Amino acid sequence: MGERASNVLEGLRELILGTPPIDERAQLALPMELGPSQPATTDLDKLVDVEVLHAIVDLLPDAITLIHRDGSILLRNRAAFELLGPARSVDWRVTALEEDPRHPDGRPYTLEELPARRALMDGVAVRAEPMTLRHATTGEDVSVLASSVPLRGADGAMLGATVVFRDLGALLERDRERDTFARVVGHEIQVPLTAVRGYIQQAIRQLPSGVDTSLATRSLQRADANVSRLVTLLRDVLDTSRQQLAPVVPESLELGAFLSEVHSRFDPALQSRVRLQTPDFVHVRGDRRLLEIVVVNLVDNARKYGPEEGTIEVSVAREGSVGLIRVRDDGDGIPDSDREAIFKPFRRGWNAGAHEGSGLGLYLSRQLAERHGGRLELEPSTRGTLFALSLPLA
Amino acid sequence: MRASAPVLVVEDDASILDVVRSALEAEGYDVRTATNGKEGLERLADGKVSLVLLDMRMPVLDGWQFAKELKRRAIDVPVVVMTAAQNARHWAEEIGADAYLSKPFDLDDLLAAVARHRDS
Repeated sequence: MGERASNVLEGLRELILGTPPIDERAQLALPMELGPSQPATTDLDKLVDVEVLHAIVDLLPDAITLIHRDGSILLRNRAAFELLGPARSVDWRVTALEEDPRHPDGRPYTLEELPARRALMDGVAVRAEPMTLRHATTGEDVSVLASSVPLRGADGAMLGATVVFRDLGALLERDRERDTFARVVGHEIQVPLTAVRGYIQQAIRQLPSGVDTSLATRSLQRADANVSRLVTLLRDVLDTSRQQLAPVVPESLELGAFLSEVHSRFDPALQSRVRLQTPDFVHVRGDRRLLEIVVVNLVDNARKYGPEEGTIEVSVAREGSVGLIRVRDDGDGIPDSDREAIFKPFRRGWNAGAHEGSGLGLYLSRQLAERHGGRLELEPSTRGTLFALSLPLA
Repeated sequence: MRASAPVLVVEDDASILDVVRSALEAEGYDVRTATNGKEGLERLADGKVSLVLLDMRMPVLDGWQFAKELKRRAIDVPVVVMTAAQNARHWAEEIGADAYLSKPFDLDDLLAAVARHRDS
């Protein structure tokens, strides 16, 4: 395959598979006349390259559009047609290529905000940005993740841009079904659980009072304790399922102010153990309510797994293109073998038996972090356990 | 036996109805039962009750409609909502209940709620 086509393919491959932006490396030499029908050259070698390229792009499941800096569409694959309907014959410099582009909160995109424009006019790469579009013929809303990179010529001049839309619809639908199923199952379980709990408590109330070591008493008390565990587990699973689906409504948050507010809602005993270190102003984009869930979970873990009365340090920092919230406790730290396991659902790791909780907190918190375009990681630490929540800067 | 009027329990699940009834009777209350909102209204017609323990999700006439009907008939009786955890508080506010119990509830919590809110 010729060098030209392989460069374009490499660019597309990286864009779709999500490797770091390639704008510095996309040294493509696209002939100005390249289009879906007639190649500019009669060179057989290059002719085959172009056709192979088109064939492959047409097979890819994501919607792909190549736009030329002169306002026209160079290429649009089959998936784009299926996902969004026929292309509009518009000049992208003046009108959005897709119908009614909106942010997840419903706000329409301005022309300048559109990923293709940002790639081509500002030379920036856009990665997995959630958008809502409208199908050109059915009028139905389509939820997508949009990515776009500029395409430059060998001399570095901006020639065009690639825009990729990944369909979120099927994934969202599956999540919704899963949530409905969880809620229905949850309700069905709650009914007999209520009865069981009631009967066990009734039986315990019938027993003679005072210290009673009989087997019957112990059995009933342990049964009651396990029912309480089931109740907590059921509630946590249903809560987690609900939070996983909650829409992220981002705003600009100043981390110091945000953490002070969260801190003010802790119970007094916890408040006195938490030390806030927020020397700098750090503004991030995040959903206040969902981020509070993450912070509360991290502080709660520090309280449960750290030493009683130990200090819990909560600090903020700006590093590169992210804002960070770090939570550290003075406990024993987490053994290397468990460092990834703790983020899995229901895996509470090394000393799980000693503590209450369903083992879903870190699992959910990591998901919430990722839904913000951020991360939740365990950082190496000489003492205690150190979690770092990173979020994109506003 | 307490001298006050009976407690009315409106709940469609037979087991939950049974365990709540026996817990209340063990505590000394008279208990009337109904398995849906329509039966609940009929039981009310049998005579004054001191409190209604109300499940929300029932066939024939659900808790929401039962509460609306109470309001329409200007029947003033304390109501404690019993329903699934996520919805309990919401429903209690919606229908103007006096209190709520999240299922699966603790018997002690149920008895405390009855003692606190019933008409004496």
